[in-house]
Amino acid sequence: MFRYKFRKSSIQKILDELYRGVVSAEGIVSESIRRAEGIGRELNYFLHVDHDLTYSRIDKLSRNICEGVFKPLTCIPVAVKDNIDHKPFVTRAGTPYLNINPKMNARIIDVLEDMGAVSIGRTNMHELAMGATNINPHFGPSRNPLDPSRITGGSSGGSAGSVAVGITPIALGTDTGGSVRIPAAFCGVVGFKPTINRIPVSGVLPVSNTLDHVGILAGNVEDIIITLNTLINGFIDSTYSMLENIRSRRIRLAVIKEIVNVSTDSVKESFSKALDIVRGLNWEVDEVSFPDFNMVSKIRAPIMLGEAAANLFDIYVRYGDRMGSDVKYLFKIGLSIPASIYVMACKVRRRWITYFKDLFSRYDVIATPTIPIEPPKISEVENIATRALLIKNTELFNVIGTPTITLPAPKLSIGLPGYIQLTTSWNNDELLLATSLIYEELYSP
Amino acid sequence: MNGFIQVFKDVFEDVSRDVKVIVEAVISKYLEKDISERYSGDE
Repeated sequence: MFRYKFRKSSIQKILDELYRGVVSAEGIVSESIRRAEGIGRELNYFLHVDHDLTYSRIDKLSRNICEGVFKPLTCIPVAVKDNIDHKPFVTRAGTPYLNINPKMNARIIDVLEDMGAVSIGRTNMHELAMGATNINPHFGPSRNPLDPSRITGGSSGGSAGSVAVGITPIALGTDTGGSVRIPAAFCGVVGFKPTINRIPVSGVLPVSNTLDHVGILAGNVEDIIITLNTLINGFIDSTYSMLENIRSRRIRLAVIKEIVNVSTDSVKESFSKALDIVRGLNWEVDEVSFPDFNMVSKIRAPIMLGEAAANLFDIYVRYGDRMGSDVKYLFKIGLSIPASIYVMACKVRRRWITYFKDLFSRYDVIATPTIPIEPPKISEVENIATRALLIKNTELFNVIGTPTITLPAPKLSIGLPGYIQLTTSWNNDELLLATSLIYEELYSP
Repeated sequence: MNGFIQVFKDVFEDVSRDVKVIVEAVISKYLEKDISERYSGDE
């Protein structure tokens, strides 16, 4: 099936077993649905688990398998965030009031289904993807698989949980300020957002045209590469070619000190241990400065909230009274931002892109902790300051649009996995994933 | 249309304090560069 021997890939393992007849197409998907309705329901990861469409897909795929037709994602179960259009399901974006009947699938759904993937259901998310806790006032919180008293993080929390407890090997999410990377980090899995627009956002309920990304969650880096290969022709080849290239030279890695400094001691210690792992490879690790770091949330706010308030204005007018108080408040801020301030924020964003272009002329990769704090208890996140901290380290990379990934790091003091976030320059997704493969060879929980 | 305009009237008072903080921060950051730099190609 693949030219490369994947060592950790769950997709490869499933395909091997399917090819050898150890498991059937129906067996793979039935087990996935059984887990979604078991532990997935217990931890509140799915808003809808599909039976009818899934099994009709399996009938078709089984016929293909009998005829020897295997595609790169044949029978691979996928969990899909509830804001991504997938006919015939209604798109509700984690709300009880939206009932959008999509006219067509999101582009990513068409591609994954064409490659044989089977979507088993729609995952719980932060209402309208406008928050990072995944505490949904209508459907309840999704619970951290490693400590159910804590949050998964969001807004793609159900997707992260689905991967973390082995319901699906891969899941789709969206990321406007960290919504793929935050839950992936808290749940101990891998979360990737590509360079802005490298995965088309068509068919996703928009929040912010400037900041929205579609992302992929998986248990390992190889599965992300295999999934991306279905969207980007030759992606596996170009990433493994990059891998050979960087094995023979010294990677230059920059650590932004302002981002590290806002972290708790436990997060700092985990991150420091992760850096020690790559120092062992003789990578060059330098500390660099981004003095504007504390301004990022203020510059992002007019862009994200202004665009969200415009994109979703009719939803706010019709359903504002039914929205959770946090989301409703964000709409109000978005509606109140003067146009002049939006334009100024966009211009500052352009300055930062120039700043990082210069940084990437000297460094291959930037590393930071993904989140500055440990996963909070569900009862603790009413605090607005805690909510703001969740996106503090991730939102910068939505503002500048670089490809960014979160990977598990040595454990935090509370016993849960730590997290490291890596980013490279624009359209260097292959370098990012090749670097991540090397890190994963050295450290995986 | 009147209903839509009422939406704006309702929201301004609720969030004026937080919006003021954002407005001041963005303006201060924007004005860090002088006018010739703000009109440069990178902007």
